[in-house]
Amino acid sequence: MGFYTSIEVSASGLSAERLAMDTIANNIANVNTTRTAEGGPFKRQLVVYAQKNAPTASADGAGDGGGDAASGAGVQVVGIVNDQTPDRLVYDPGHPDADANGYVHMPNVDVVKEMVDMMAASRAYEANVTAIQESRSIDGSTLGLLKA
Amino acid sequence: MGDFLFGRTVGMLKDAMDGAGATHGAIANNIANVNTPNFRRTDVSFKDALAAVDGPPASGDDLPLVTTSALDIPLAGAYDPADFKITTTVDQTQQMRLDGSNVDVDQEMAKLSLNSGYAQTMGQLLQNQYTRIRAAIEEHF
Amino acid sequence: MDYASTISKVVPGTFVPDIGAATNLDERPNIGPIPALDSAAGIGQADAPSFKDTLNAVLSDVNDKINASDQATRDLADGKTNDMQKVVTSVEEANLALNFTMALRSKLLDAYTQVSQMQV
Repeated sequence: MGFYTSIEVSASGLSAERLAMDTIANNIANVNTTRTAEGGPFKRQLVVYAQKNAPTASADGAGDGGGDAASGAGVQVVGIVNDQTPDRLVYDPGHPDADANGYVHMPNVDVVKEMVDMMAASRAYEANVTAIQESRSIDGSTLGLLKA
Repeated sequence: MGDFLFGRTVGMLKDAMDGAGATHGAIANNIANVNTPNFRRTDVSFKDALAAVDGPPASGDDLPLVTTSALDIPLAGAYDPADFKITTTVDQTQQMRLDGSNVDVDQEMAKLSLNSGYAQTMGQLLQNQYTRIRAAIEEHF
Repeated sequence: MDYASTISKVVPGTFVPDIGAATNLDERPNIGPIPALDSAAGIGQADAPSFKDTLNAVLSDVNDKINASDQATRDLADGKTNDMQKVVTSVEEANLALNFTMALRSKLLDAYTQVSQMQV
């Protein structure tokens, strides 16, 4: 298995999914934010996952899975990027942030999509928790060999 | 010439537990990468290699040692563990997922559960083998 | 257990009371000369299985059970069978058979030691 135990592999999955859920929660909280520090409305953020390869593997880059098959060391988040889809335009001339034509630039966050992503991240999180529990029970039964 | 004290059953059970450990690692990696785009899952197979190193079944009079009592440690043939290899393959099939990954989290969970049950069973059977040998040595169960 | 004929092989002509012969319901001991080995009069049954045969049968049965349980274990390990009940029951039966044989062995050793320490 290389340097990493399977518990460390599953733990990397847990932290990546936790980060994804935090990002999604942030997106949902800011679904109506029209002013940000950089100017303009809030932009939806995405998490970019990549496979972590163990150090002994051939340095094959992340995410394509073409490296040494036996050395997968879990997952890592390589960045949080802004979604580049265009803003939602809502016609509301009375809004303080309306532009010259009366359209307000709203964040490109679709709450339904965010909820679906949240469910996927949550299910992946639970799957990783189960993997850790199974790893511990296998270790426990191996230790049981020492009992009389 | 293999190990004289532990027969081939003990050797096979130890290799089976190694195989189960490697399988668990691959499945854990697949599960951790369930949301990674363009990820290719890995499979581990070891049961065929295990069956290949197992010889013909031992018959009742097949023991190289004439045992005058069942308390003699049964030597069912020495086991040479060097022949056992665990194969890891990358699964290149495509699945209909938008992000290009071919991990199916439900299949991985099912494989995880099966493999975990297998590993624990092998552990219990190995423990039983050791207990039998210890009983023959210490002359009480 | 045919003590009479066993002991008569070692010390010919010794007085041996008739202990526990199945055919003799009368409590009076049968006092008399030791019958010849091939005579069946009053001492057990000549065609009953001897102790040696029974012991051999038990030992080879335990051996078979252990081999069967090991074979079943190996089949489960390399995936030739998925039937866990068969494996577990055969392993447990082999354990019990081994346990039984060891208890038998201690009883036999005790009996032998007692007999060898008997004051003649």
